[in-house]
Amino acid sequence: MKSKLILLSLTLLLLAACEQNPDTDKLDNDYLVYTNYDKESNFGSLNTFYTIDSILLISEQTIPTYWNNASSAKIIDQFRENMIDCGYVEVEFPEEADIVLQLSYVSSTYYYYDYVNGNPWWNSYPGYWNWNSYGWYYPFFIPYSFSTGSIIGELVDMKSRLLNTDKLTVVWNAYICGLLNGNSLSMSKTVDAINQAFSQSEYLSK
Amino acid sequence: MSKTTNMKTIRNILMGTILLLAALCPTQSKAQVSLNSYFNVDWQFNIPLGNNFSNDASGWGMNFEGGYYVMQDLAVGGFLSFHTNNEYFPRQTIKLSETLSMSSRQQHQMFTLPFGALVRYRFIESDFQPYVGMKLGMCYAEFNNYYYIFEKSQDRWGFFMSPEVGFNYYPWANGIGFHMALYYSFATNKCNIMSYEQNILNNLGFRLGIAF
Repeated sequence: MKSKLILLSLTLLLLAACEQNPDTDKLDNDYLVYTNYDKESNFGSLNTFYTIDSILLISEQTIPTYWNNASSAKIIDQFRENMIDCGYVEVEFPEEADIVLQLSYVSSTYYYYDYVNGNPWWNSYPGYWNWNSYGWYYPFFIPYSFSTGSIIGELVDMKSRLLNTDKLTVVWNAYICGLLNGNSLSMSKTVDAINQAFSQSEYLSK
Repeated sequence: MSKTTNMKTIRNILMGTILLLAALCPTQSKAQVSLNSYFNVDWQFNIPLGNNFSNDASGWGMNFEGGYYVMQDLAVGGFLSFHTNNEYFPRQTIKLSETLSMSSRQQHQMFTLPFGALVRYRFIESDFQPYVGMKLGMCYAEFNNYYYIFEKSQDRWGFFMSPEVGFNYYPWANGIGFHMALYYSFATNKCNIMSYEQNILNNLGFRLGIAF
């Protein structure tokens, strides 16, 4: 009787007090936003911006593919509105702009395998943004990996080629993931996440 | 958990213990399993104090200990316990470097597993045995930060010390009884995950279990 009671008590206690794994459901249902910037850049001297009217799809394709419909237009508009709210003036042609906003959507991580010479893989991705054959580079380290259903927003300093003849500087980078509801992009989450990217980048505001 | 809530919890624990002690007056002595030794198996409730990484109290823990009375009222022995404290962080923006920021919901988990030697002094040898004790040893701690689908973890070792007060109560002649204890614990485990830093682990808590 005594040994049975001890055994029963031990079993009940062990069942009641196992290591508790946290509930992570609330985490992967919501978006994640990373932002980074070039601390050497003087955002106060950058006044005009140009926005491309399409979003580059990073997929399994070997030729450049662009996303251009009502959904992509809404995403682009959200970035554009935030840029204007920060005090930048939109111009009609990239040649007139101090900075260009380029947007990409990761629809597949097929090509992703590692960093290339310290830069993310799409530095060599076919069709990745290329301005008048100038290359570009990140002046900051990117510690995160990329997942399907992510949006990448980048501001490229078009004036930086005067100082550096072969590469343009990415002065701001936003990486947004966790936007999918099932297999489709949630537009409400996307809009919230874009706003979040700008609200945590207060240095962009004039 | 806020400081006010922590204080209320501590006050409730103390009040409960006092009431229980008052109810459990010593009666005629009945033997435990062995007069020269004791064992406790406990459920544990732990309240982190001022912990930046995971500060929510929880009942996800256990304690195992045993001792041998080298003198009539002085026992030495060993212990092992473990506990998990989780804390959910709603969306917040944190700086990961001078230029890099991240915004996400987070779930923090702190798992601690101290073990080592103990000394216990009981005030009376009867059915009801109030005591004071001290535990010294090492503490293994695991810190996990979950965010979106990612996880960052660290495991660290530290020195552990824990004074406690409590009692064993043996109401029956078969040697099975109850155990209750209040403890404070201090461990030197350090944690530095993302922007969260913790240098010392301070805890308060109580244990309820069986004694034999």
